[in-house]
Amino acid sequence: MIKRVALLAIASTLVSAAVAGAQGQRGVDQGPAPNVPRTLRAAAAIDLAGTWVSVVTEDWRWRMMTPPRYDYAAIPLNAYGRQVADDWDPAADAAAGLQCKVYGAAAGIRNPGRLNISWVDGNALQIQLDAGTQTRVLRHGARPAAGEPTWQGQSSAVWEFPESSAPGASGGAGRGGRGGRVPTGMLKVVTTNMRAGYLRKNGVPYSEKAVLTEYFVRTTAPNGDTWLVVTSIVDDPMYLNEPFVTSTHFKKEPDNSKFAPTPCVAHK
Amino acid sequence: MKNYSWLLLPGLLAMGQPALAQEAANGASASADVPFVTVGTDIDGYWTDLFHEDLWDRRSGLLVGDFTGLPLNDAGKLAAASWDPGWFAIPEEQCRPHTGIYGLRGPTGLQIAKVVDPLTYQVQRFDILLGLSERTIWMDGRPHPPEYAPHTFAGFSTGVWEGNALKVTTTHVKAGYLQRNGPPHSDQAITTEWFIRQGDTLMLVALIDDPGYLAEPLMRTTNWALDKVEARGGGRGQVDCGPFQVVDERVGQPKHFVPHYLPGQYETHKEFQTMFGIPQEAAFGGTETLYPEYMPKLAELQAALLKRTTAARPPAGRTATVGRTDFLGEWQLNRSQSNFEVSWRREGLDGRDGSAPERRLMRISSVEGGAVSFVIDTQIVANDTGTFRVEYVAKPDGSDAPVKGGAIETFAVKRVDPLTIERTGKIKGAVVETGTWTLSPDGKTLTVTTKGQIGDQAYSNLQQFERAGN
Repeated sequence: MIKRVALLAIASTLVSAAVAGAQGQRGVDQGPAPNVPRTLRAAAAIDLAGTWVSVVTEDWRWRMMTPPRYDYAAIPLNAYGRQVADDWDPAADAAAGLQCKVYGAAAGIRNPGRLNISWVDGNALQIQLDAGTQTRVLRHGARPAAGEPTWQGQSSAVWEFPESSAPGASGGAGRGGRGGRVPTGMLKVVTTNMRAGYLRKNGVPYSEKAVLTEYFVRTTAPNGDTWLVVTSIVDDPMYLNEPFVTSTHFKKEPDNSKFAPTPCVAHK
Repeated sequence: MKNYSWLLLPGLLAMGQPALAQEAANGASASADVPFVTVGTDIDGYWTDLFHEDLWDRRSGLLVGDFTGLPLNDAGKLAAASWDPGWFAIPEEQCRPHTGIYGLRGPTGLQIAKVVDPLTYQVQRFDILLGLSERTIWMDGRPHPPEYAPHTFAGFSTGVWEGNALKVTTTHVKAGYLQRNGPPHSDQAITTEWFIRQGDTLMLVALIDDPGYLAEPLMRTTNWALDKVEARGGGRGQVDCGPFQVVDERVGQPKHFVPHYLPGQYETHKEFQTMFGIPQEAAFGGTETLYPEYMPKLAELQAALLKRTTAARPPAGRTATVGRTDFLGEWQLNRSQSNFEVSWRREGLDGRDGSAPERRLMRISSVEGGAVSFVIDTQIVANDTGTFRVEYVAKPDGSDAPVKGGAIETFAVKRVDPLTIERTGKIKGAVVETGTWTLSPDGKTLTVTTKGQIGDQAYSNLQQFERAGN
């Protein structure tokens, strides 16, 4: 009986090690295997770099123009959130220098405009948004958020692969893999430490306690167009009854000639 | 007895390693050397709708003439604008299923079932079950039918995995609509979709390429949340609809009549434009309207529309023939200053009391003979009825006037003083509702208190209206 337990434990060790290997990991003390990419850029599942333009086919009336006051439909606001939204005062925002409240990380990507995405270093992607002239940095291995909250907060990024195409796995798709399959996966980004802002131009709030989870996906259409789709999940215990989920899509442009930064505006 | 428990330790340590990668997915820094994690891609199971975008399209219904955000070409705009809501009520269309292009946008949850070939154990197909709009996605590599093959409402779909996305191509779909207020798609439309699981959320990216009615492919996304209570399953399963369910909803209408608007006869479409200050050029969609460059032009068009609207409106007081002239004009409900009480409970999609309408606009105008026209449009999020209208023309002398729309059959309007009118509603001659309308001295606010009971349902409310742009 005791021998069986021992053999089971050894087998378990071998199986677990194999699983860990398939996920691009080795023992804690050894670090990643030599053929496994060590940086976010080296492991890139998809190429996000370039200039992308928003194509507003959804929520057009709430995005291309400022919705009327009290139009909070579709946003799962709680009672406190509604109360704060009811008190929206764009003139006061402008006077207080808070014109950028609708350009923060939780909703800035919904503003019609262009994104310019580029690598800052091996572990960080930068997203420049021309609407409101904002910059986000998505970094792998970001330390826990500290200091004063900012409009764009602090973002931690990691690639997500299906097991069959993880770097290091047989036939894996990442640069560290042996290739041969469609290179696809998605970038998951978690953002915290955001300054309180607006989810919609007419003053629907999110708080500094909000956590933003995003997935960046790239697809190629039959006509050759390349699309970027960003799913945003805003979880705000202060103002929302449930996480607020939207997906925003962008089409890739050949160059950044149309990227035109504009200042933040307190919408009326 | 020897102690072999130490042999368990390495196994337990190794089993803990994948958790480090998962931590990275949560933004933790514990596995900074590993910039990726592996995730599951399963899409089969039960999924619950999330209506956090395109709510009006997907849930409560859009107003006639709201084609914003659609890259319609000229033919598409013309066909869309000809659509009349009564179209759904004609016998030939009452049991019509949604096509595969619209079906997943409707307000139902869905079940995705993976069907495995019993001989090869390979995934043969995914079945998407959502009542009348079932779809099958073939995964076994079979080709699409030849061009001359018949088209179906669901169309013919094949799928292939691209990493963590199930890519689906659909052809051979019948002609249908892109959304429920008329914008069409032709039977030449081809859809490319990607089903992607993201944690406990399922995202569908759909690209509709229709040379018939679209100037460029239409991209849109739809999200669902994992439904962990499978037994809930409400709204799923086959929906009975056939000859025995079809009824004559438009009594007196000529047989085979198709409700429609002729080209250029777009008075009804102007309601949406007026309500939201969106000029027709933008309301009818088109490629140009989808891009950021259109925003300055939109602002110019809106300013021009406002100017035209203001110029067309008579100066205050000129149209007055009865009562206090300041009652005349457009009044928008200020929901935050209003209170609605009902004897039954309703909850809105946004968590608010569903008894309170999402939006209410009243238009009060004078007509010939000393009467006053009341047109009240209400939009409720909590159900699926879209906008409904109550309208009547009443003399302010307390006489009963017939009502079009709503449960109440007649309203009597009586002027009490220059700032106050009383309204009494009746059904079959019996008073079921009373109300007092009070105008603020500055003419900017209208407060309406109402109390009523219809059957066993009692209600009372205080509604505050503000002048809307006049």
